[in-house]
Amino acid sequence: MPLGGALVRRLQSWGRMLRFAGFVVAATLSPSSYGAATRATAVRQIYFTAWQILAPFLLFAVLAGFIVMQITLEVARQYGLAQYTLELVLRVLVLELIPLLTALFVALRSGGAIATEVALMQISGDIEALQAQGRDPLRREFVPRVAGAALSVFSLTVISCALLIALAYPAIYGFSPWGFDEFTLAVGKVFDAPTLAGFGLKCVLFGVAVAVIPISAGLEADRRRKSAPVAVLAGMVRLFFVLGLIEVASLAASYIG
Amino acid sequence: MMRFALLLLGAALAGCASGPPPPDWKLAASASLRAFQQAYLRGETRLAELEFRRAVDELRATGRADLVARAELIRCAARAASLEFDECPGFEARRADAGKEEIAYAEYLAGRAERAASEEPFARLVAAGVRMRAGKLTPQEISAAVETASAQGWRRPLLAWLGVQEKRAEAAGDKEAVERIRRRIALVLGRD
Amino acid sequence: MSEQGYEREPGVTPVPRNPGVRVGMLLAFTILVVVSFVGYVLYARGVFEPTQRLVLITDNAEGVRVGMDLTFAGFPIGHVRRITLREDGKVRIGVRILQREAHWLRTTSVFTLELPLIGEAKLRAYTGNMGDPQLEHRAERPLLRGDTNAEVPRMIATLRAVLENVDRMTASSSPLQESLRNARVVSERMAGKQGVLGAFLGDEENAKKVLAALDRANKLLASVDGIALKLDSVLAKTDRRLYGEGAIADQAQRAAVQANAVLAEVREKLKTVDAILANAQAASGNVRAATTDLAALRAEVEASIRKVAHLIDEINRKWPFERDTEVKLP
Repeated sequence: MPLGGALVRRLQSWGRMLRFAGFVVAATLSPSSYGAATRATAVRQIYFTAWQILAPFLLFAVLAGFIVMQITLEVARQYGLAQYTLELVLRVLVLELIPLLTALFVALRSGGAIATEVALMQISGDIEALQAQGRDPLRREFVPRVAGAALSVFSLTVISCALLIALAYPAIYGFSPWGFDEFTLAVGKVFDAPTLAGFGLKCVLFGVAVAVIPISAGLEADRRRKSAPVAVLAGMVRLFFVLGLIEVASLAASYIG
Repeated sequence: MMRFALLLLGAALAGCASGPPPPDWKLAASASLRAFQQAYLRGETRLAELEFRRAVDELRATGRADLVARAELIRCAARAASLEFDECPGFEARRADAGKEEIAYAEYLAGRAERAASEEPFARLVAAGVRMRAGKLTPQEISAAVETASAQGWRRPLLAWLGVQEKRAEAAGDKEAVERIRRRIALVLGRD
Repeated sequence: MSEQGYEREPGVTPVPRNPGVRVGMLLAFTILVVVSFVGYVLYARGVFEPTQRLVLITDNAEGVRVGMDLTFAGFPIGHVRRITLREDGKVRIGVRILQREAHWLRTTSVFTLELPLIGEAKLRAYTGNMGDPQLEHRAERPLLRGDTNAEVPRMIATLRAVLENVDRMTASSSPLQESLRNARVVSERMAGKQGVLGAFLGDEENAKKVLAALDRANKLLASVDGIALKLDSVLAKTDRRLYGEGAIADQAQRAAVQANAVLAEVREKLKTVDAILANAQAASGNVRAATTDLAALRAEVEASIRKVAHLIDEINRKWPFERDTEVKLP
């Protein structure tokens, strides 16, 4: 039956992706993977994914964050809950919204590109050529991309979050120094050790997902040229799904657990 | 019999005016008997009983059984006047000791002997009762008895004789007469 | 084989000659941000501050969370580090107090846990007397619990009872109102025409009657005086008539002498009758109380008539009933 067949194929695809993910993550974490070429590729990856887009992205993040902060402040004041604004901002905006937004941004921009690149390599037979030459494509091509994407996501998230935390002070307290102690207190209260650890883990997971899934989707392509868009499409959908899953899981872990 | 009682009473009263006073028992007995007769005929049964017992007690003290028998006869006569017939057992118990006069009166009460009735109302009623027992009564005698009892205010014989009239009227089917007699009975009984 | 041997298509996008520099800058900046933020957080959480330990003991630690602030005068001076159960079932709340703020707490300080109707629980410290010695390190103190939610039903019940009482007292039919009304009526009457007398008698009519009676009594007393005078003169006349010449008394005297003789005779006779009467009285004394029992009489008469029914039948056979002859008008 066709429906059953499609489901089985999909499940098999997921299985392949997970296996690939395991391999590539393991490879990324081991220092022996990093030769000069790998490092160069990773640097190039970071350059494309993070540096190129740094300024526009930060601008976008600051703008969006600022607007959300103002809305939150207004609504909280209406309900007489102004004292909770900072905590709300820190928890919702900085801890959840910005990382997710960053990951989506990077996924949208670089995920598609990586997937296409890998798919094209597959189509043009470069992967096979590498394998024939005895060079591990995993280490040569995929590991740097994963590492680069992960570092990019992490860096972009951290910088934009820090920027928004810094922005939150004048947004809520204005330009006087008297709210600083309260601000510090709130920051200290929100960012306790488990929260920080969870935040870090989420960023890393986002980063890994942003690279791994497109690559594995690209690898699904075969020698036909027309298989490229199909592979990329499937990969993007899967990526968004997984990003959402990570976000939900992190929320559950912090608020239910 | 009433004459005897009255004679007794009269002797007592006569004794009042002159001569030695009569013995107590005579006075008491005759008074009691008279009271008994009145009470009984008027329907005051308890008082009648009390008086009769008192009379008999007094007469017993004399030890003369014939006097006691007389008292019993007076009672039976009162009952006969009220149409309550029996063999007068009180007298029968003393018949052995009774005098001639008493026995003759007993026979008269039982309907076995004749006797001229005096004009006294009590005697007339006794006579009527005796004749009723003997079956020799006429309707006129019934109404005469009713009138006698009514004149004396003697409830018991009056009710008895009115009852007889009522039964006769019922048997005859005369509703209006029945109603009239019944109203009269109700009047006596204080029920209307 | 060099690592750069493998041929690849040159990239489409221009890459600067040394992307590594910028990337390195970016990564270095990122690490800087991370480190400084973590440091800030640590500072914010007072990790660098020396702290004093305080243990709070309570029965019910509901609402207390690790990391909760302990505030003094609204200012947080410490936070909850751990919550554990003791052997006796009580809860041990381990609190870390900032050393620089610890001087606000004294040995007589009171610690409370307040649970408002809405909002979070709050740990508060109060110091009444700042002259007492400072709270020692690792001190153990009881924690007082103020649970508004538990108090609310009780408060409502008490309030309701009070309101009901007030309601009852001020209801129009309550004794209080009655008394007030009565008092008002009395005072109104007292102020009325009849004055105090009217108030006590309750009715104008009654008061008038009383006054009228008083008037009459006075008049009566006046007239009695007049009558007494008249009586005197009448008595004087009677005296003359009775005891003067040809007076009634003389004749009465003679008649009385005769009557005496007769009376003596009658007295004798009566003595004998007395005896009879005494007996009769004794006999009828008991029975006089009982009235003639007509119902019993009727019953007996009916019974006797029933007994002589056969005789009546005989008469009926011989002589039929004729209304006119038999039932005469009395």
